[in-house]
Amino acid sequence: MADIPVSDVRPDMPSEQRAATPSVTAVVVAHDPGAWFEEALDSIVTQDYPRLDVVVVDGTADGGLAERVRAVAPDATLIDASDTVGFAAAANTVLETDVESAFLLVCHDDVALASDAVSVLVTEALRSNAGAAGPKLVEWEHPEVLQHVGFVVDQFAAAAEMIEPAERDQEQYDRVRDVFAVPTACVLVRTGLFAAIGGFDPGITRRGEDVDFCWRAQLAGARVLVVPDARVRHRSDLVGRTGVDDIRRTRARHQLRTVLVTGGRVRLLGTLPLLMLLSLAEIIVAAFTARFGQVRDIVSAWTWNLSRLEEVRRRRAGLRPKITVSPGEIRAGQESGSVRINAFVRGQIGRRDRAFGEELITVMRTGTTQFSVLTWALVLGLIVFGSRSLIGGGVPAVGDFVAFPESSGNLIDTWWSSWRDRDLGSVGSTPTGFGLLGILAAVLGGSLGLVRTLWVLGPVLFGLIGAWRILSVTGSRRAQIATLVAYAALPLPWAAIAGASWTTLGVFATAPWVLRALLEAQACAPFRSAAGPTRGLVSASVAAGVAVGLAGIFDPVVAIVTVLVAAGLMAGALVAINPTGVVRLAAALVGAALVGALLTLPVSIELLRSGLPWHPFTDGRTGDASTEPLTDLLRFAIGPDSAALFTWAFVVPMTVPLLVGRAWRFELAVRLWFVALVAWGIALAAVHGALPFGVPEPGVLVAPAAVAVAALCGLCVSAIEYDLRRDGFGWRQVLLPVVIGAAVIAALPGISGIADGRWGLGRGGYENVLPLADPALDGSYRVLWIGHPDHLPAQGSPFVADMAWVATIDGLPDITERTIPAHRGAYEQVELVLDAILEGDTSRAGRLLGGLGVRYLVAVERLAPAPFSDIDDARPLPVALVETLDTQLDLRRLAGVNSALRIYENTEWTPVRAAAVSTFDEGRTSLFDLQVAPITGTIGVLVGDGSRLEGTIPDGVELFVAQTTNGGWRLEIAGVEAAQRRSLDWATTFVPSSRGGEAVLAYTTPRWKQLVVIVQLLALLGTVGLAVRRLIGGRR
Amino acid sequence: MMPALRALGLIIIGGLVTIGVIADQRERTIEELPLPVIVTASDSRTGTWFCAGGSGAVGAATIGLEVVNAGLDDATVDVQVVQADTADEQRAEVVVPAASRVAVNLPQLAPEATWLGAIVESDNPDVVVEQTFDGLSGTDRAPCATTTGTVLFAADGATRLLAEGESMTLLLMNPYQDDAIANVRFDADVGPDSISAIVVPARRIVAIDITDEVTVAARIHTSVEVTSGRLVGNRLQVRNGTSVRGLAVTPLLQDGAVLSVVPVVATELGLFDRIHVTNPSEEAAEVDLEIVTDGSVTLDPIELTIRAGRTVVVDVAAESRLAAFSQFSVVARSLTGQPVAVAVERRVELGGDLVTGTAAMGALDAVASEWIVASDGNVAELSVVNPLPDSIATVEIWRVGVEGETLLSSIDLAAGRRQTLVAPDFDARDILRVRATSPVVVGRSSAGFTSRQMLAGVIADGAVLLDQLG
Repeated sequence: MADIPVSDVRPDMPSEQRAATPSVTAVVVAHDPGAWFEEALDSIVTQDYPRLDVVVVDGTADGGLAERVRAVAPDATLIDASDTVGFAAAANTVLETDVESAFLLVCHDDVALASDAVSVLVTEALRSNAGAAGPKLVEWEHPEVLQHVGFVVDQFAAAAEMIEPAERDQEQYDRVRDVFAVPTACVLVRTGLFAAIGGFDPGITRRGEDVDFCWRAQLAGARVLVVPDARVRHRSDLVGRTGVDDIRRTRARHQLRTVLVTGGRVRLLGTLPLLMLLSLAEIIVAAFTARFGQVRDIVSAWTWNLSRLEEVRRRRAGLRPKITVSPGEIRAGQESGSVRINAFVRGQIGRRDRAFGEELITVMRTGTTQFSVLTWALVLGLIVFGSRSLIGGGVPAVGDFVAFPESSGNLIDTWWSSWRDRDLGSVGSTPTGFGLLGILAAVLGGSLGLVRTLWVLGPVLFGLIGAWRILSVTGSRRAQIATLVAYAALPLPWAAIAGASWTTLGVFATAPWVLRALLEAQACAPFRSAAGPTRGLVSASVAAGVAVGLAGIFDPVVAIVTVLVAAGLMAGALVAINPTGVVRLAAALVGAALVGALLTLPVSIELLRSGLPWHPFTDGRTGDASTEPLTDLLRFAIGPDSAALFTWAFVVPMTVPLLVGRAWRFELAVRLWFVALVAWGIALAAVHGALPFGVPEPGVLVAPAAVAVAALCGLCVSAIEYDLRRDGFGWRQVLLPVVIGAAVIAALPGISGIADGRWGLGRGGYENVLPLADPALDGSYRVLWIGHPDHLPAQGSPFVADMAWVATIDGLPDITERTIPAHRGAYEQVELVLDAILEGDTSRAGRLLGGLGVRYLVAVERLAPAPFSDIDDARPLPVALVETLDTQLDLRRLAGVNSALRIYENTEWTPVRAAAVSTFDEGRTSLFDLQVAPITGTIGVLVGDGSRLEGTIPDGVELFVAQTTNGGWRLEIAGVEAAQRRSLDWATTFVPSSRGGEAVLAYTTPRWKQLVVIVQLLALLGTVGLAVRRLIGGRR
Repeated sequence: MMPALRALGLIIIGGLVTIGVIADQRERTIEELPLPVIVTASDSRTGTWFCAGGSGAVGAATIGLEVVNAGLDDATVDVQVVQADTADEQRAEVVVPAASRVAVNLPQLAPEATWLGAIVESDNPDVVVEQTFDGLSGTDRAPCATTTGTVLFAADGATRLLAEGESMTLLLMNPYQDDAIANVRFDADVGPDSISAIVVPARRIVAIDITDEVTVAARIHTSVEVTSGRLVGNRLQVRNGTSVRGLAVTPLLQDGAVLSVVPVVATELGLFDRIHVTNPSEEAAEVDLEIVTDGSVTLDPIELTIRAGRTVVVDVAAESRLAAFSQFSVVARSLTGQPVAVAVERRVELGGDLVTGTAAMGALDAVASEWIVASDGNVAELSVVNPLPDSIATVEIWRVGVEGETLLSSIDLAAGRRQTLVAPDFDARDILRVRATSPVVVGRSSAGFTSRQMLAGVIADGAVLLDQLG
C-alpha cells in the first residue's frame, strides 16, 4: 500500500500551515434531488475543513439544479452529467475535469455531514494511510439510529451490514476499523487512487458500485476504513425517489459483475460454480415459495452478465496492471461462507428481502407451512441423498439415458439439422428439448454432464412440484403434503431410473400437471376457475397443452398421458353420476392437443405429414403379450428389482375418501380412482396382448395411476380434515391410526431405495465393452441393435414380440438419435433382411446387411453390461433367432465380449460412404441381389459428424452412400456438384462429373423447417413468459 | 343420496378391480418365435450347399462336385473351396445350363489341398449339388448337406487296416466365420474311445484319421458333439480287403430324429444290408423299425431296445421273415421319444454275380411333395415311400430336359407303402423330378461297373418334418 502519497497534515494546524493541508474536492452527485438537497449541500459548504472545493454533478440536468446550487454554494462548480446513466458514471465525470485536490469526497445528494466530518475523515485517512474512508452513516430523520458502519463482503461480492436492523447508535462501533467496503453515500477517496482504478464501474448504474470500487481499490493496494467519528446523516430512499424497486435485480447483477471483473482466473474456477449452486438453491427456494420475481432476477443476473462478457473482459484487462495485492490476500479480508445466507437468516438483506425474510419467518410460525417446508426439505434431501452417486458420478449411458454428444455445439448442430442418421437415415427433426439442453450446456460453460444429470433427475422434481399443486385449490396444506409424499414414495420414478426409462420419468413429470389442468377443465368442485367457465377452459387447455408440450419436446410418447388421464376422468365423472365437464374435457383435449402440437413443432408437423403414424408412440413394442403380472402393475413395480411389497399399503389411504369423503371429496375420489383404473386397465390389456397395436412400456401406462394414487392420498387427508371430524366416534375414527400406519409402511420402498445413491441404476454403460472398430480406419459403418425395447440404446422399431431393432452410425447413438422419427426413411430394408434371417431364407445376412452399411449386429440382452446388471433381468434373443444368426456364412460372432451382449461382425460389410468402381452395382437392382453378387472392392471415404462430411475421393470412382435417398444431400468435388442416381432401390450413388479430389458431402436443411423451429422457440418463450406472468400475477 | 352413491361407487370400483384380477388369471399367449424346423435332408430351396469334402487330387477319395440344374433356366453358382490346410478361399463361378449337370473339379481349384470341401451358393432353387468321390477302391456319390448340425453321427465304420484293408476317416467342415469345437466319441467293438476339444477353425476342414485313433475295429459308431458352432461332416470308409472292396462316403447324420425313413433296404442274394440305430440320449430308447413293403404283405416291426449312447445293428439278411422281400423300406420310430440316428450300409462281397462294393445312406427325417433326383450308374433304382398312415399319394416322375419336362411315370401309393422304379423306366443319367400329391420320401440306389451307391433324393418343395407328423 505504499504507492498512495501520504501527508502528515492535521486540521488543527495554524492557518499559516493550512496551505500544507491536503485539498479536498467534494463531489456531490445529484439526481433530481428533493427538498433536502439544500440542507445536504449546506452541510458540505459549512465544513470546518479549510481547503474544500465543491463540485456538483448534475445527473439529470433539468435546469433547476444550478439555481439551487448557487443559492447555497455559489462557489461550487456544476458539471452537466445528463448523458450518463447512474451514480457511478456521473461521479466519474469528475475525472474529466482538472481536479487537482488530493482527496475526493464523493457524496450522494441526500447526505448531511456533521461539520467536522471531512476533517475527521481526512485526518484518519492520512494517519492510517487509507485509500478510502467512509463515515458512520445514520438515519436522516432519526440520527440516533445507525445506518451503515461499513460492509462485510464475501467472495461472491455480496455485502452485508455489520449492524443489526434499526440498531441504535450507542457509540458501540466508534472505533476506526478496516472494512471491506464502505457505502458511496459519502466516501473520502484519494484522487490518485480514484483515477488509477478508473473511478467507479460505469456499468453499475446503482447498487453495488461501492463493493466493486472498494474491492478494486484493495487490489490496487489501498486500505478501506470506516471512521465512525465522522458522522453523516443519510436519507437512503432510492426506491422512493426512482419509483422502481429493482434492488434485488440490480444487486444480483452487479455482484456477479464484480466477481467476474475482480476475481482471479484460478479463483473464479472455484467461485463461479459455487455461485451457480447458490443461485440454483435460491431459485429453488424462491420457486417453492412462489417468488417467481426472485427467480427471474437471479436468472437475469446471469444472462445480463453473459451478454456483457466483452465489457467484463475489457475491465479485467484494465484492472490487471493495477493489481498489487494477490487475490488470496483480498480473500483473507472477506467473510467466509456466504454473507447473503447469514444476512438472510438475520433479516438483513435489503428492504424487500428483509420483508421476504420476515414474511417467511411469519408464515413459518404457522404449523402447516413449517411442516410443508420441512416436508419439502426432507423429500428433496432424500432425493439428493438417494441420487448422490448419479449427481457425483454421472448417469451411465444405458437404456433411455443415452449419452450426450461430445460438445454442446454438436448437440445444437444436430438439432438444427433435420437429417437423422439413425436407422438408414431419414428427414426428421431432433426433438427441440435436446437443442435447448445444448444451449443450456453452452450457457453453463459446456457442462454436458451436469445438464444430462438434470435431464434425468429434473423430471422427478417437476413431477413432485406438479403433485404439490394438484390439491392446492382445496386449501389444505396437509393434503398437498400427503400428495407430495405419496408421489415421492411410490416406486415408479425410482424404478424408472433403475430401468433407465426416461419416457416413464417424462410421464411422471407431466401427469400431475395434466391431471390438475384437466380437473380444472372439468370445472368440478373444487377446481372451478374464478375467471369464468370459458376462460377457465381455455386456461386449462393451455395448461395441459403446455405440460405435454414441454415434456413432448424431449419425447413425444409422453403425450399419451393426456389421453389416459382424460379417459379416466370421463369414466369417473360418469360413475359419479356427475357428467359435468365431460364435454368440456373433450374440448380441453382438443385445445391441449393444439397447444402441445404448437410447442412440439416441427415434430408435430412431421407426424401430420406422415399421416399420424403410431410407431413413434409405441417405443418399439409390437402389442404382443408380456409377462408382467397385474400385481406388479398395481404396485408400480416396473423396473429391475422392484419388489415394492409395501406399496400395497397405499390401498388404505386410497380407500378412505371413498369411505368417508363427502361432497366434492367423494366425487373427486371417484374420478381419481377411475384415472387409476383406466391406466391400470390399459396396462393390463397391453401386457395380455389384448390391444391390437403396440403401446409404450407399462411404466408409461401406469404413471397416470401413480398420480391418481398420490392425489387420493392427499384427498384422504382432506377427507379426514373435513369429513371425519364431523362424525361422532365410530368406526371411521379408527381409520386415522390405520391411515398413519399405512402411510409409514407405504413410504418404506421409496426410502429403502436411497441406499446405493443411484436408485439401483447400473454403474456403467456399454461404451467400454463394445469391441467396435474405429470408423476412422476403414470407414463409417452402422451398428444394428436388436433387443428388448427397454434395453436398446434408442427407441426401436418393432421386430418380433418383445424385440425391437435400431440402427446407429459408428457405435452407440447419442441423445439426438434416441427418439424415432415420424418418417423412417428406408427402414423397411432392414426389416426385410431381418425377416429373411428369421425365416431362414438367407445364409448371407452379412451381404444383405453389408449393403445397408451394417458392420456389426449387436444383440443387447440386458440393460447394462455385466457386472452392472443382473442376469435375472436378461431378455435373451429368441433361440430361433440365435440359431439363424449363428448359421449365417458371413457373420462372425465376436468372442470374449461381455455376457450381456452377442455381437456379430459382418465379414462382408460395405462402408456407409464407400468409394466404388462404377460397375459396383451393375445388375443389382435390389438389396437382395447382393446375396449372390455382393458389393466388393470398396473403401470408406469422407468423415465428419452429422450432415457435413469431408474427405478425398479418388479418381474414377463413384460414391455409394448407404443411406436413404434424399435430395437434400449434395456432393461437391472441388466445387463441382456430382450427379446422383439411385442404387439398390433405396440408396444413393453420386457420380462425379470430373476427377476425384477434395469432396464435401452435405445436407441442407430446408429453410421452412428452420423457420418452424424458430416459431416453436418463440412459442416456448411465450409460454414461459405467460407462465411466469401468470404465476406472479396470481401471487399478487 | 350420498350413501347410495357411495355404495355404487364402491361396488363399481371394487367390481372393476375384481374383474382385473380375474382377467389377469387368464393364461397369456406369450408370442414366442417358433424354433426353426430344420430338415436335415438336403433341400434345394436353401440355395446353400455344404459339401463336407474328401481328399485332394492324391487321396483315397478324391472329391469332385456335380452341380445339377433341374430347372429350365441357366443357373450360376458360386463355389468356394474350403480346405484343411489353409484358410485361403478359392472361388469359382460356375454357369450351369438348364436341365444339365456340370462337374466341378475341386482339386483343380486348390491343387495343394490334402483335404477339401466346398460351400456352394445359388439363388436358383432348382440347383442340386452333389459330391462325387473317386478312389482306388471305388467311387461314391452323396448329396451335399444344406444344413449344419451340433450332433453328428457316423453309424458304421471299420479300421481293420492290415487284415481287411479297412480305413476310416472323418471329415468335419466348419463353413462359418467362428471356430467350432467338437468332442468325438467312438463306440467300437474294441471298446469305447473319444477325442476331446477338436477345434475346427472357421472356414476350414479337419480330417480325423479314425484308423489311427481306434485301431483294428470291425465296427465303430461315431458320434460328434459340437460344443461351439455348427458343423457338417463326411465319413470316408475304404474297404480294400479280400472279401469286400469299395468306397463309401456318407454325410454324417445330423441330430437324429424320432421318426425317420430309410427308403432303400434290400435282401437280395449277395446284398448284405445292415441297419444301424444309434441312441445318443442318456436314457434307453425303444425303437420300432417298421417294414414298409410294396403292399403285398404287412409285417410286424423289428423291436429294438437301445441303451443310452449305444448303437444296435440289425442284420437284415439275418431276419428270415424278410427274405421274401427283395426290397423294402424302413420307418424308424422312437417310441420313447428320443431322437435316434438311423443309417443303412450295404455290402456286396467279391466273388458273386453282383457288382461288388459298399454303399451307405442315412435315414431321412422329412417327407416332401417334390424331389429332385440326379440318377447315376448303370443300374439305377428309384424308391418312393409313402410313410404316412392315412394318405394316398399319386406320384409322378418327370424327366427334365432342355426341351422341358416329360412325364415318365405316374403311380399311386397307398398309405404305408413303397414302390421301386428301375431303369430303363428312366435313363441312368436322367435328371428327374418326383412330384406327389401327398408328401413322400425318395431314395435311390445304383450300381456302376465297380461300385455301388445309395443316396437320398433332394427335396425341392413341400418338406414336412416327419417328427411333426408323429
